[in-house]
Amino acid sequence: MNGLGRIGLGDMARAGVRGVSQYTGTVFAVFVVQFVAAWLSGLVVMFILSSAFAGTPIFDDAVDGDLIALLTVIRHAPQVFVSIAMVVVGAVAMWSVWSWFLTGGVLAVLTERPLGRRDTARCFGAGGAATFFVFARLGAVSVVLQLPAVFAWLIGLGYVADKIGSAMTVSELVVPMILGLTPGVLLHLIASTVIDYARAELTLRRPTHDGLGALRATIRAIGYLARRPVALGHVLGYWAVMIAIWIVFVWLGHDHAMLGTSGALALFAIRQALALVRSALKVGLLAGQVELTATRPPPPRTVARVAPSER
Amino acid sequence: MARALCLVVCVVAACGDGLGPPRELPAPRPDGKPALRVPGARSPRLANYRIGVHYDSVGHRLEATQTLHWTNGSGVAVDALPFHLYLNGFKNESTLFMTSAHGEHRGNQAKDEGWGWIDVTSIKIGAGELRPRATFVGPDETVLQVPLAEPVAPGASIDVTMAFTAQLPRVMARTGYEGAFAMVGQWFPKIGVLVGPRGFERWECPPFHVNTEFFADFGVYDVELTVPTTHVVAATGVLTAVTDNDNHTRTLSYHAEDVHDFAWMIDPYMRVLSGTATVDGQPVEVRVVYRPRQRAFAERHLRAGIGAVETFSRLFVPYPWSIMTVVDPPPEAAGAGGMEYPTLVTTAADNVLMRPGIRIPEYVTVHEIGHNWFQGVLASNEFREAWLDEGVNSWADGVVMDLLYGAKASGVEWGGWQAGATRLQRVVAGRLADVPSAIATSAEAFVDNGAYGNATYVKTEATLRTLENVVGRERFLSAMRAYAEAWAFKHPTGTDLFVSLERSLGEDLDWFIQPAFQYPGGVDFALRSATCLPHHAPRGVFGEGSGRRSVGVDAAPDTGGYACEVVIDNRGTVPVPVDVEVRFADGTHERMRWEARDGSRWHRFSFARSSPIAEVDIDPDALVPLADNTVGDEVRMAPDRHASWRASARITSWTQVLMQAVGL
Repeated sequence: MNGLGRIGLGDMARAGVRGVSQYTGTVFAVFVVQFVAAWLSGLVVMFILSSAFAGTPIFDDAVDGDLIALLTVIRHAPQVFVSIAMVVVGAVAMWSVWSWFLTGGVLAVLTERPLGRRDTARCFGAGGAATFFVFARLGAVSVVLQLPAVFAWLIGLGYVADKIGSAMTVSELVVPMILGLTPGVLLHLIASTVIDYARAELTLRRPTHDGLGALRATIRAIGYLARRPVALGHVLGYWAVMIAIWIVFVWLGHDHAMLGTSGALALFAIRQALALVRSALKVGLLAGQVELTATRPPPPRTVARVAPSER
Repeated sequence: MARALCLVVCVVAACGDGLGPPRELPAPRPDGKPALRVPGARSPRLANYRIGVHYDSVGHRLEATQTLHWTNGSGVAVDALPFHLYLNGFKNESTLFMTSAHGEHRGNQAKDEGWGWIDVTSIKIGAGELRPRATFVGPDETVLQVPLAEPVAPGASIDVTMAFTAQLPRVMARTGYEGAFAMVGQWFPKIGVLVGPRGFERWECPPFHVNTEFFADFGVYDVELTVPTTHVVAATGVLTAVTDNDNHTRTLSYHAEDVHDFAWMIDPYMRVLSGTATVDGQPVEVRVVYRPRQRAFAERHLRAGIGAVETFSRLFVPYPWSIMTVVDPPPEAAGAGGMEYPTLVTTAADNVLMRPGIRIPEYVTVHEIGHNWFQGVLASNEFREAWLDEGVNSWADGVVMDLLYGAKASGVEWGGWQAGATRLQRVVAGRLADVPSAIATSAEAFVDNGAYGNATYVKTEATLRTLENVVGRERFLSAMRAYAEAWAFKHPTGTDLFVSLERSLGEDLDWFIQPAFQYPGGVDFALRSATCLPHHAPRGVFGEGSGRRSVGVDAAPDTGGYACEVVIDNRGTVPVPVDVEVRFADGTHERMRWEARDGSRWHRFSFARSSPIAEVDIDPDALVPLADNTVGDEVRMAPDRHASWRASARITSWTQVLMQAVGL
């Protein structure tokens, strides 16, 4: 025992709820930034599509659910859709870089728990800026950590592709998918959780442990995760909720094609509401991780030697 | 832990695919039906085979003897007989089949350990042994020429007795084995066909090429298959007798009449699902032979099969035989799938992703059964005019699928999506004008298998569907029925089809048939210009001398109407009449038609309206499936970005989900 109280899954979940309810403005701000980032890319997509198809009514049919029209349009101008895919990939890549700053800001707020909008904003900005570069280094470390997951995915996908070709029933499809993809998913979750806890510790110990680098924090997080599997359970719970939300969305959307302008607006509103919920859940996850990290023993500190002349 | 793991591994290994070792099966009962639903020869029956074969289920080898009773139906004496030895196409990598296929057929790769071959050990006519004098002709060993001691005069017959051993290949193209399953097609020495004008006939017996399918004379087949008692057999024709032998084998006697081929399937795990189609008030038994895990698909194939037999019979000529068998190969033997033989076809596309409503499995069954009319009954020369079977059949499949499942959903009706089979196939095929050969090209003369497929299947189907839309569906169907009735069991050529169509339709179709079938190219409509100018009386200076007067805006004000002009052109090579719908800003529309039968390449429509043009739609009802680049056939004068906004909204939402997955 390290002398600090051991907390459980319930405590982490409660910390998540507390964090989200206390910092609703932060949650909303993160959502808005994400919304703006996504819709900037959406604007580019819109310009690409309209420059290609604004004069061709068949595109309207394609958007409104005509399969033949959709295939016709894709076959006619595949380069348009490749361009759109590149825009999406670019936006996602850009967002993952921005996330280093935003995650730093959120973790700082959840760690320091400032009061008032102005202090919270200041804390958010300062925290994000202070940890940006170390989080960037952590991003590089995470690439290495994710390699086993990538290998497991590649092997698993090969296995699944092999099985799908001869699958006759849904169970013959689902069971190989579970068998083939679960190892990769688990390795990815473990690697992501390690990085999450490394981030949380880097933020939490920033005032006292200047020398704690990305690599050291990662190694410590691996050791900690091995001792406290509740951290992994917490992440699994988060993903379970995310998947449940997705299932509910799909279930509610079943048989509602939501085509035309009114359909598009309704779909837009529902999806944004869902995105907001997902943002809140993510902040709640971070809050739980900060709560657990706070119970970790701090890393050993290096005492600065003071020169005799300065005594 | 280790013991438990070992146990699991052992159980999994023992179970394999869950089928277990083959078990003795009770002897099947003879079908008790005549080979022909209504007895009586339909064809000249020039090539009649009596074959006895023993099947080695371990080595997938056949030991056989056959007697061919062949009649020279031509006007010339014949001094040599050529035989197809198709299995030698799978003998090694240097055969014409393998080199033209690049070792692959429809995505199925040839395997190093599974070569196939056929070895004819004896050829006798009377007492004389002719095998030593027989020689292979062509680039490989797929055609064996047997010189005769005496010519066979026109109208005379000859009996040729042969002994042969055949090794089935691991299946990559239609015939062969995979595991315990074997589809045995093109497995016996098969005589060529004399073709050409009377008195000038020549042998049609080309070497086996990946693009060329099969062409043979009609006849009667009596085949005795001696197989293990553990195995299920499905074959061309009807089962007439069953004899159990002492050595755990069973001899099954099959009889088929007025067919030009005999194929069979053998497998220890197959089951049979049976239903009845009604043709001319008589029953035709439709069977699906399947492995247990494919049961759900077997039911779909059976429904499609019954519908196909009934509908093709109604549209063309009644199905002449008593039984139609559909073999559903196991997925590991996918190379055997999607092939036609008389009264027996193999289907394909069983996969969990083919959910009910995604009608690709049904389409394959309809297509293969449809061959029983175009390959089985009409039996055109597939070496030289493959489109007469594959293409005409594809067109007919579209009609049958539309009748069975509805025109809008005959291809897909799933998850809110709908698509007709013909339109789906057409859009997936892409540009047809790019195929560098005409439809009417000899199968082996196409640049590659892709060009052969696009021209022979899709382009022919699109061309015939276009012609059907030009002359009207009912008239065209009636003309095609007349063609089928006139040429059943007579090996019609393309010219026979065209002449028959023109006669039935009572019109000259040369303006379309020549460019569409005999030359590469296609149809590519485009809007060249669409303009509307405010309408008013002519302005300017009129008259001369003292009578000269100027007419300006005041004297000739705008009437409020518009003088409009639309010019469309066809940048392709095939002229096709087409409708053009012009929609106006006030919501009204007007339809016009460009007949184009004179071969004109462009047409100008001029008209006056009270409202400017908003949209021009060439071929608004999609009646010219031969047309390429249809995206540009419907043009809006002023851009409308609403759909782009809606699409980008969806894409952005997905982007947002991805962003949340990788970042905050």
